[in-house]
Amino acid sequence: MEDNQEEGPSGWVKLISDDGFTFILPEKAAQTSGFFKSTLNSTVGFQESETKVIRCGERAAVLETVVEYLVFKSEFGDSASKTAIPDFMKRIPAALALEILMAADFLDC
Amino acid sequence: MEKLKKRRLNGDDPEEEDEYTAKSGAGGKTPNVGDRDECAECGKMFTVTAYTRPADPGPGYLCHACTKAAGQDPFKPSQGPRKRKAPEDKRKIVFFEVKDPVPTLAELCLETISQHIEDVEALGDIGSLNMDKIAKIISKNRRLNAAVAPLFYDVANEYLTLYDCTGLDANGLIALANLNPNLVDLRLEFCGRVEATVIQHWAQHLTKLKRLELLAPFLVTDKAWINFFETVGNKLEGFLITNSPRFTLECLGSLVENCPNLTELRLRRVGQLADPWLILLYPLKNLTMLDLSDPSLGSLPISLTDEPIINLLTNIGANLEHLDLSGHELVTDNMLIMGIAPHTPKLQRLKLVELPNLTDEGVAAFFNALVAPPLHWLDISRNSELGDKALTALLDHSGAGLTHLNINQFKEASTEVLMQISDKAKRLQVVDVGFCRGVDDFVVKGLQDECGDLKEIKVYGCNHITENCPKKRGIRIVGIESHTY
Repeated sequence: MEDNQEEGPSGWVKLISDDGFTFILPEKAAQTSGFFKSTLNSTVGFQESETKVIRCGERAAVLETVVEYLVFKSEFGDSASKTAIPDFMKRIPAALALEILMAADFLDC
Repeated sequence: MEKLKKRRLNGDDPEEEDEYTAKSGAGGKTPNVGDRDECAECGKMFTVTAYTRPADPGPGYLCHACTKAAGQDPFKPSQGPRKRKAPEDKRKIVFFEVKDPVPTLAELCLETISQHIEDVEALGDIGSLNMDKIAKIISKNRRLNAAVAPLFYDVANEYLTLYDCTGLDANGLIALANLNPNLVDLRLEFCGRVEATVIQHWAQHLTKLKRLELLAPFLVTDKAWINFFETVGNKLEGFLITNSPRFTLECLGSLVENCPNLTELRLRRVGQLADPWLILLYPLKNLTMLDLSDPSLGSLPISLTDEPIINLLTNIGANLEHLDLSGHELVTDNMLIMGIAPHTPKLQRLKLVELPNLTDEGVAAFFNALVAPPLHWLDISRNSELGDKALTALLDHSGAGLTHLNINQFKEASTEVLMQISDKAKRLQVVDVGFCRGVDDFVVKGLQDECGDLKEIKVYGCNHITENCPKKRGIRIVGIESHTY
């Protein structure tokens, strides 16, 4: 079942897409998503909270944009930030928009 | 003021800087401008001017040269009280639309989709996607409007379900019919903006329409309903509406007269529902689904009574497969035992939520008398008088057939009897035992072990379930208190 027992580097989380691509991002960014936040929460006791590796049921193309958004949000999401916030919409490819919408709804981000 | 404080701490005289309490030439009178005075430092005579400073320390005044030597520029205007830097405008004006500088990814996607809606190619291969799921997501985000809705329209569409139509005005709803002319089954939720012109248009242009399900079409007038039924006529097989205070007795009469082929009827939360209405339904012998639940308007209790319902079921119960008579305050055990039990041989789904006059013995007697084969779907939640007797009789009658069971608020049910659920109802897929205080870890374990098809258990308010409650792969347990974090 779980042949991947290695842990990601501390403070970082590894997301593995449906088609085998791996994405590494800071844990703080991953927690922008309500779904990842609960998965990584150690009180509930999911295995992922220990290994810091989450297998997502999304395609790599979709997951890539999601990961980019999570990092973007953790950087600019702080309402006290005074720097101009770049427009993320340009980074969403229209052809994937519907799939990303479904992923975003599921991941609560 | 800081300088003063510091000086105070150092034990110095704090009155140096203040104009009013600064040292005068202590000991003597303040010299007038123009007088000649002796400098306290060097002894020379000098003319007192407005710029003369007192000596520090000690009495006397200094001449111009000594003032400068002491480091005080005599011509420098005395510093006024230190002004604070104007405080940054702390009052940030927050526009209520802009709470968060970064919108959610879902919102960004919806924006992108709205922009590309004209160019269908740009949005990729829609066919392979689950459009119903997308419809739900868009409705959840309250973004369904005339611009985005065409995503779901198609000339070939036979079924269409939209979950939030508050963004579609009358024109949008008329356009819906024009763009989906072959609709057979239309279901719209929160369609408060549907009005007379709209359903008139639908009746005329949706020529293949057989089933109409609307949640909250409260603007439609009684005349409009009557006109609709007259236009659609005997094509209509399903008429299901919830929340319409304007649906009158005459409307019902028109419905029955013009649409004799009706198999599904829902008049839920229809405020004018009353006993005299039931007689009108007698001709509808083909009904397989009847829902007359929750007529009450807020705190005003409205309810049907036993006798008329019994008479109705005597007449049309023969084909009924799905019956919902929830939320009628005045209904008693009698209605169940004399009305439902003997007259509904084909019953499969039964909903009797919140009927406060039902008793444990009465419901037990009902299930013992029920003629129908084991039910598949049963919801008798929110009847807190019910307990062991009702549950036992229920399981004895329908246990073999039940896939969905909701006994939320069977407060008195004991653990022993609850354990029997897993013995007698092995085909359960979804079960809600919320607020049944007798449920504990063993009851849950029993369900997981015995019910092979089980997918979901709801246990809200079951405070005897501990953290050690067993979990099984593939079964969702919802509502365990110790899991909140």
